[in-house]
Amino acid sequence: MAGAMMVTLVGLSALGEARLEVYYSLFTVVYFACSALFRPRRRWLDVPGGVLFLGFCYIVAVKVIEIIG
Amino acid sequence: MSSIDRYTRAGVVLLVFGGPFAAFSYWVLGDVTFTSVGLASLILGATALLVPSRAVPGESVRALVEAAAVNVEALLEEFDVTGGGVYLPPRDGRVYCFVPLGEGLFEVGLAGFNGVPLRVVTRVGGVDCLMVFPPGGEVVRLAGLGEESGVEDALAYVLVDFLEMVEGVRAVERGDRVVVELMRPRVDTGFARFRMCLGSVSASVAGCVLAWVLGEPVAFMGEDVDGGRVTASFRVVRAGQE
Repeated sequence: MAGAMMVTLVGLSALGEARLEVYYSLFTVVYFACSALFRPRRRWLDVPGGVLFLGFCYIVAVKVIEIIG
Repeated sequence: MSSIDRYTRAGVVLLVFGGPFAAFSYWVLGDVTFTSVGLASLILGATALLVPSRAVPGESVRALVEAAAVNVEALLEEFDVTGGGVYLPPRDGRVYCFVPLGEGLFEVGLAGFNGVPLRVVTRVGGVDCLMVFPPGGEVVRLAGLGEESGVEDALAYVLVDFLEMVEGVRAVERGDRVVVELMRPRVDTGFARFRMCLGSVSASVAGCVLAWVLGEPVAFMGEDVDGGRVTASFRVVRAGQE
């Protein structure tokens, strides 16, 4: 997951991406993809996943409101 | 002296670095790339804190499983038992295993086992048998398995997710037969009687899961080992069968 995030970050930075929500969204995708692929054991609830998902929903909601408004 | 495992240490370091760095990069530097570095550190740190350092059952867990198998092996050896055991659905929340003394198989079904006293040597349907507590009996209880679970889902949950005893599991039901395929078991013992009567440790846990989920006695019929794959056969024991 660390490798995938690094590749994502370097790739987006090389492309000159300046929107934080793009980085955030792709980190969210990487996190859930790695969780689904490797299914790591956890000591407790998936708090990072929950927070990432809520943030992603917020970004999507803001974009939708921008489009509608 | 307390020791913090490596994942917890890494998680704390990443969180301590990532949080302030992301905040500093966003509000002071105004740089999105550095902010993303801090964000990635936060995500990785939080993930690392949640991951236990030993994903595979450690030597201590293996020792506990072997210790449980030693007692069963000694009992089976003492009574010179060679027949396949029958895993019973839970009584008092535990799965027990009845191993016939001699060559007889149980044909009595669940009704024949109900009310049988839980003694070391007991008689079921006219067959003398030895009652043992398989290591998997407690495991299934601790795993919190629901009796409404599907067979393969239950096996995967207990053997792969909960115990991490095997890398993968598949189950095929055909009539009263259930064949369970266990991929690359990580824990096993060298006890011949245990393997003969209850199956390998992974197969024995699978038998306990089957009895729990199916709600009927499940007889261990045998297993084949082919490289990293163990194929264990079970039969659901119902009254009136041949």
